[in-house]
Amino acid sequence: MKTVELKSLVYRWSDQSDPVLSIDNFNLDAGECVFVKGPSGSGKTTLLSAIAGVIDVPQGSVRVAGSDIGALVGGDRDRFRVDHLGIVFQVFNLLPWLSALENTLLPCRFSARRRDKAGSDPKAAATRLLRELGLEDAGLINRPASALSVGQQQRVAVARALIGAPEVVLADEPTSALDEETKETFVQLLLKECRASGASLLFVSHDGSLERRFDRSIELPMLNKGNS
Amino acid sequence: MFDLCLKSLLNRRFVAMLTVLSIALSVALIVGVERLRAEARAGFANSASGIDLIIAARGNDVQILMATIFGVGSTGAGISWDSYEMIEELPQISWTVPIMMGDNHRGYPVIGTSEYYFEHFRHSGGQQLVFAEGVPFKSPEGAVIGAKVAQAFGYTTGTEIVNAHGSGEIAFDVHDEAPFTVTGVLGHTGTAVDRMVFVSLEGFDALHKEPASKVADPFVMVDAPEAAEEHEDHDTAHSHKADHADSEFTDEHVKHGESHGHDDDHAQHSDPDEHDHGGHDHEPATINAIFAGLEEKTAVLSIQRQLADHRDEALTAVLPNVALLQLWSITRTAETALRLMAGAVAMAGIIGMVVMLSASLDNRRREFAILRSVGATPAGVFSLILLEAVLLLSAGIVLGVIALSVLTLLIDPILAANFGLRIGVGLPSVREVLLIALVFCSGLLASIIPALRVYRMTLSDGLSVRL
Repeated sequence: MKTVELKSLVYRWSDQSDPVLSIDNFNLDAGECVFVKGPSGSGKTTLLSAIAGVIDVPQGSVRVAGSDIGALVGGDRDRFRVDHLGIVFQVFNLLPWLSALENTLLPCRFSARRRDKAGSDPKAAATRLLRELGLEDAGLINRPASALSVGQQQRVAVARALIGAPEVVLADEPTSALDEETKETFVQLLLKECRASGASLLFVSHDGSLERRFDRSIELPMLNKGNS
Repeated sequence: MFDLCLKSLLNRRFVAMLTVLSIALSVALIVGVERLRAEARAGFANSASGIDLIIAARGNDVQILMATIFGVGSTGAGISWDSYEMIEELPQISWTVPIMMGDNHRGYPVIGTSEYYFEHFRHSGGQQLVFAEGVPFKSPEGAVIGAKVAQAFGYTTGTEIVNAHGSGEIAFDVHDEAPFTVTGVLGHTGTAVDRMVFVSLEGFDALHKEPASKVADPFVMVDAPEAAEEHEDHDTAHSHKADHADSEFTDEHVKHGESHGHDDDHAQHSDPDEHDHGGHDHEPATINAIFAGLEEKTAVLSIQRQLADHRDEALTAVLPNVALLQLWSITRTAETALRLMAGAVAMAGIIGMVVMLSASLDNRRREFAILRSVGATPAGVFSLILLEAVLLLSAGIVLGVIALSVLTLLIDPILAANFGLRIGVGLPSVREVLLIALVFCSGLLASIIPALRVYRMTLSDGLSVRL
């Protein structure tokens, strides 16, 4: 069972003639944690946007959890995204005026599927996830997210990506704002939680020191022929 | 979505509050101007019912109306008693009431008239004047006061009051040689009558019989009956006219009061001091105006023509409703200016809101990207901005209406005392609701601009956020 399938994916910004993405074949198996390594400008963000259904891709080129992203239109893509994907950004993952707990619960607001999968009490599920990620203090998780440190914010972002057990977690350089020590702990936690929930993980980074912890590592410039 | 929106706004509470304040201000202003305008018109219209014609010396209709009905300003010249009798005898005329003006009691206009005033004057759609206590004056020393005057100074029947010459609030020429005793207090009408003091024509003339020889405090109130008597004696002693004539005159007046206006046996009097001794009803040399009622309303034009042709004296017959229309045409410019200003303030308030919403957009790209990553559609983000506008507008409108109500409560007594205007706190009128709806809709319409920007922004930004 493949959660992400890319087949003859070609994508170009409308005003450019050269494609930014040109990927013949790429698969992400269920539960697989893959490290995608690439320098900036190698099309990392575009790749993630294609999988997340933020950019228009040709029909049949991107399948996530069995659905053809290119065939979805408008708001369906947004609903599909929250139903099946968890996303962790580089920095500033959280809405600063919501508490850590409320931030974690955001996908459950927009997706009935995630809410159902989070169990009868999504709040308890979120609290449990946050505790596993090292945010145990009840006072801390109810405080506005802006009061948290960067490392804590990234861990809340992981909790948000994982709540309601989506099939795929996309992580876009989530460690770039963390120091060496936190970085290691963070990646370990992320992998552990993804494995615990059975989600596939696509981890994009330019930092090769982290790749050994993953099931598989690929070089984006090798995969993406479009960006030369 | 709603609580997300609310929390996001609370996060920007300072700017959001300023925006709400500016919207509240514009709503209060727009509704306030409208309410003031409507109440002023209603108040003026209420004051002038029941009188078919106001006759005064030739002059401006509006000026005559303002002076006689509202006690603001004065008519030009007086009209002679002869003219009054001439008009009284016109076949089309059903009743007449003479009006003398120009004095005040502690800032409230004093009107010299006959007791028929209370019988014929109508207000607020045909209601007769009602005595809250007491009766109309029967003697030259009697006075009837409006509800507001009674309330302002705590007068009741039996209170003795002193009038001053002129119509300013502070007068140095106090007629304390001619005090009056309150015989009646009128019920509240909500019109200028509430602010008036009514005395008989004799009483009004008596004010001018003897110029005050000393500077007196206009706020003196002599209310002890003994003191009043003493005072009267004192006055009489100083009067160089026949002492006994005064008392004789009083009796005569009471007798003649009933036949007032039907006495054909009148003499020409130029000196107001002289005719007091006459054996018939009091006839002042001049009066300021005449309120008249007609037998047939259709006779208005023929009366106007007859008066215009009157050779002895230049007279104007004013139709109160026509004069009111003229007044509105004068005030319309001011009203329009006020409304335009209120409208401009409302526009500024709305622009302020749009600026606030637009300015925050760039800082909130992050927020929108996060929302989209968790499944918010571009349309959802679009409606988030509209929802914010709705919240800001609603809060502004509620605050504005509350502020206006509080302000109204505070200034109502001042307006009522100075202009006889009662605004009152009530449910908003249909027009006011429409104005509020207009503010709301234009605000919502204007907020489509930032919402559309956000829509396009979220589409192009996607999940990547350029910081």
